Amino acid sequence: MRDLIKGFAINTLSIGALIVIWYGITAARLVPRVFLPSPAAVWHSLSTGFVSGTLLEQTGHTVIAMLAGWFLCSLLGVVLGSIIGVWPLARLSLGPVLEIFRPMPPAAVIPVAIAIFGLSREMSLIVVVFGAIWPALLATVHGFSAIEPRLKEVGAALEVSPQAFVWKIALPNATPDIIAGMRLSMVISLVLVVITNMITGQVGLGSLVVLASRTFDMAGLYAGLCLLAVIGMVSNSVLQFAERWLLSYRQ
Amino acid sequence: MAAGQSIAFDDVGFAYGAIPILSNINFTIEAGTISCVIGPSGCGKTTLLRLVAGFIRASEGAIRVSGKVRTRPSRDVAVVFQDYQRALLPWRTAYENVSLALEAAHVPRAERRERIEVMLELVGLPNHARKFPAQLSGGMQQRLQIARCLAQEPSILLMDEPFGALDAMTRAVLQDELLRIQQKSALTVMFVTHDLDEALYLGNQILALKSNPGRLGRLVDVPLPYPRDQLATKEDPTFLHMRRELFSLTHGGHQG
Amino acid sequence: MSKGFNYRPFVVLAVLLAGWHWALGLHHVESDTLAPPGKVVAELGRLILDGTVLVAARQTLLATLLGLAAGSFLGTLIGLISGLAQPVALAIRGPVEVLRPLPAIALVPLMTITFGLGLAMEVYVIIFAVIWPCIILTQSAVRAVDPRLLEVADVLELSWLARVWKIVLPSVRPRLIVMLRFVGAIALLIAVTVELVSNPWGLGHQMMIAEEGFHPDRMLAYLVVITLMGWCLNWAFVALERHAFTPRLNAN
Repeated sequence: MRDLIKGFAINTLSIGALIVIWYGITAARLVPRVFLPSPAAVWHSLSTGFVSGTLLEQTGHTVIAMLAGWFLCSLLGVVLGSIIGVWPLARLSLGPVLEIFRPMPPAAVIPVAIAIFGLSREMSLIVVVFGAIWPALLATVHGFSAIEPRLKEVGAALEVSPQAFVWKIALPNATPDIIAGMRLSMVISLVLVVITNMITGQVGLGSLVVLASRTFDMAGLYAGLCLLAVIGMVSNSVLQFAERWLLSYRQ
Repeated sequence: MAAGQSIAFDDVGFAYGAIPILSNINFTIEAGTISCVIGPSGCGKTTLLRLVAGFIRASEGAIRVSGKVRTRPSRDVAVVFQDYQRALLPWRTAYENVSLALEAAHVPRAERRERIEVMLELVGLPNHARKFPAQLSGGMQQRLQIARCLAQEPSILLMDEPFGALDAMTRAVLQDELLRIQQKSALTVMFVTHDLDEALYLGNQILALKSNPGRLGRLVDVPLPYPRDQLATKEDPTFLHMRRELFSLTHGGHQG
Repeated sequence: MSKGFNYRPFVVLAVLLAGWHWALGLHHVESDTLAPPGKVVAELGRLILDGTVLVAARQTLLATLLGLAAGSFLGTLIGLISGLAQPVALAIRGPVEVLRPLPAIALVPLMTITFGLGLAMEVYVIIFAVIWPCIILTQSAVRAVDPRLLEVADVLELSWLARVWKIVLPSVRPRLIVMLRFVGAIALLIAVTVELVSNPWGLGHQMMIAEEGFHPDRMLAYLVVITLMGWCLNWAFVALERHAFTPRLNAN
């Protein structure tokens, strides 16, 4: 607990120092204002945006799209991954095929998705699921297939039924891998939501950043970036916390 | 606990592909006794145990437990592995790890609690029920594995160098507890070890294997009386005499 | 299980291709959105012969490798220093935690205003995407160096530089190579994405133009090329890993 507080204090201090340096640079006009607005201007942009409600709406859309995509691809990834991991035939036939698709940059499916679904919200959701499912899926497959051989023997000696084996031994055994995969999926979800949002121009932080840059509203652009950083940091911290809690048995 | 069953090896052979690992194994472990298997490393001690466990099947001959041919693992034969840290479920507490054996046997929830507590008491872990394996020392983890194996109510206990990874003190304590539990329950125990002193101290009979391929070297009865004592038994002239006689069998060619 | 040749993945692939072909052929219409596999392959052949694919691929590869080299060099350097000096690690932890989760692509508008469209902007975005994982992975690699080896360095009274050069770098090398494979995939992803979103060159841009011009065969041909490039990059790093790990195994 003490370490936690100390770590938090140091982080706050160093981030504070970063903001002070930022302020110093803008106050001394080392960089033209066009490229780097002052922290105060960004703060002003953030607060007026939230008071008027537009920023809240954009943030909300981005967060919801990210969570929806992440939830769907976690669910699909874990279910498909379990099937492939548990069933040797599926692993033999689908595993190598997945390896072919894996190095494909997820954003590269965006034009295909646009061609099929148009510039719609469904398109964006499908791109997110297609791109962010890999870490969850592959980690689940790995978690299930890399099960400790001793535990298989323990299960055999106890005559544990196949269903009970999956539920009581294989799934908990794969949990650390699954959570690690889900964390990565969350990061990719946010990235893909922003990208599709920038391309489609629908309400959200991605389009906010693009519009702000077109009107040279640098304070607004930085405000959008700050919010994205906060969303990324908060979602990652929440999952990290959940991971620590779920895996507390490892000490 | 169920009374012991006998294990009969009837001309048992095992080959891994074309490589023979064990051949012409003929002997019997009487019900309710402790048999220790010794031999140089790589002589097939563990393979012999895994055959009895039913994890692998003999390529020749048959293993009979109380007359019935053994083909696959079953709950009346428990296996204590040497690498206890891999054989326990790290996400379950000590209590829940023992519970796994009862869940597998479909024991109703209401009955489990008392039986788990008895088992933890028996192996000396009553105060560690809520701890995870990672929070227990090596000796405690091995006790926990033994508790889980006893909870499955076996008639045969197979132990694969169970105390090999523990320090000398813990090892001696656990040897005595194993003897105490075995005397009380009349379990049949097959104990694999590379430690001749341990084999002599625990066993009713000793089965010394020779290697390449693994085959029966010597089969000797140990006439030392039970209960045994870490000091008195190990100073007994019979113990010392047998130790000298068997030494060359296990250490053949490895002296120096 | 491992007996003989595992033909099953090829069956799955054949079924997928046949399904794709059949689903499009069923409508008997010239689709504006998708093309059957045969047409995609034909288009790919045409694009290779007239050289457009090669030009675009070279542009994408150049940005990827430049960004990867600069980003991983900087990231590894910062990671090494902060891994060895605890105060530095504490000082940069906060900023790293804040900046790392920021999707690099969101920087494209800002980078465009600052550097204009072109190679520089794309490379800078890639550097931003690559540098954070490099810092973190290098840091943890340095911390995983066997303390015994560092004690050996103490006993031998090695200078700081000799310590880094002779003890730390050789022991983190395998992990750094694995890291390179990981961030290499990120670099390619970012390069293609920057091109999709705005930068008017490279494979991503060509793919977007094909989509907007209703040339599904060309669009899918570029998708195949991009996937192949990701595959080759991955393969190159795996080969590097093998090469780097083999002498270690022989030495033991």
